[in-house]
Amino acid sequence: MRLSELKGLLLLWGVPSAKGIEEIKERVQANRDLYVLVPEMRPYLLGLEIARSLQEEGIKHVYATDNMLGILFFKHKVKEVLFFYKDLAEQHFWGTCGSLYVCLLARLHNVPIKPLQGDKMIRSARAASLLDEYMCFQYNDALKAEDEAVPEAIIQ
Amino acid sequence: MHSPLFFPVQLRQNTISVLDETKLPLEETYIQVKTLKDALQALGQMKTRAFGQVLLFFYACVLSGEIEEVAAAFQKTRPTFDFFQLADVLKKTSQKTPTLKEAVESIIEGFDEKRKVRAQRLAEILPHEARILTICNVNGELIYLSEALKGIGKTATFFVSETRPYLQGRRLTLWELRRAHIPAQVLCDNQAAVVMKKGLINCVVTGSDRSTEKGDIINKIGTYALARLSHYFKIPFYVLIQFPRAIDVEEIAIEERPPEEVFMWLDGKGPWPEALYPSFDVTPSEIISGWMDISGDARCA
Repeated sequence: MRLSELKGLLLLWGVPSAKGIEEIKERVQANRDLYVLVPEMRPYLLGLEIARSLQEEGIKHVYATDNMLGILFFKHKVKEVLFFYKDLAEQHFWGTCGSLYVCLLARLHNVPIKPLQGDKMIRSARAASLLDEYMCFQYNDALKAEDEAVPEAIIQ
Repeated sequence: MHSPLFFPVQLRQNTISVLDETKLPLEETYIQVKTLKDALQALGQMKTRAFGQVLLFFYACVLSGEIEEVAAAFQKTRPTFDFFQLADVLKKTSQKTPTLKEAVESIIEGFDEKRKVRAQRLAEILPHEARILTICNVNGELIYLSEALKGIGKTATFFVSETRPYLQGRRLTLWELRRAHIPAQVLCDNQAAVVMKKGLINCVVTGSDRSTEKGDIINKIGTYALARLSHYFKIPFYVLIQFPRAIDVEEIAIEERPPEEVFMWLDGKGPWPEALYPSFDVTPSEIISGWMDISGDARCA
């Protein structure tokens, strides 16, 4: 799919709950031009599993690597972010690795973020690339991937 | 100390030897290019890129004895990079040399020296204990930068964004830095905000495929997000540029590659979801802190 074909994207971050999937479905049904944007969500590749769930639900979606989000915000393709967080504590939303990256980019491009309680990590998610094991074995020098705290102020 | 990525493409008699960067770091293998068609195939399949594609272009001109025709074919294959500008450089230089081959040799010899000078200029303005976030791969220039920093009593630690989907950061930059015993750590592209917030880095350095005289750049996908975030965190963002042109960045075509390449480094055989693959993004000059030109000029915002 090419960028020019896309009129509007609903960006998901985190793992949607069953209720979240219903909300996504409603949004897409209400706007025929809207595609769900599923980022890869390294290192666990949560996006691959989520794309499969959306496929089963018949929700039209498109996949992108995490570093492609910048250009999609820059080109005003992303209309809203649904942030499926894991926990809310001390005025911070805790989400999967990359949550701060996504929420800050949304904020800096004036794109609304809707926080929604998400599910925990998908059981089948894996730190999967052909190189992960090889490179870790060789150098053991990857920055640890941890959940990230996003201040409420960024989301509001 | 030296990485094959410093000169990933070489001309030996009538054959161009191209380091297959898609195989690194698992294998160091070379493709033999004898015709323009071979060269275009290697280019289109991303066997080489960045400085490698510059070298491939020049040597393809030597092999075919043509400049314009080669430039047009290369431009069609990789539309974002400016091969016509390389053609102009070659045409100008070849007026002063007896053969095209000698013109190419003089450009390339001078180019490497200029990369070292550029690294020295950048080293002068980086912090004493430079903790540098980078993306993609600049063919050994970070090794020059590390040497330049050391030469003036500074230190360098690199944080390398893995650069999906081709993983050039993880496969190429991390690999060459570690081979040169330079401290480096890889991170997922989406961890950039967290490393900035935690103060793990104090500057960002990237290459650029294209640049304009205004200072806008086009570089590997993900560069814009790093610039935008570093601007927010007030972390200086420096770019290595060459041959800036007096054009509007919007006039430059952004290459979109086949979506199936998004999944090429992942386990499994699919089926994969429908995907996007813009391979470059635009970073406006307003969020760039400094430009280090191959000519030796350094400019800060």
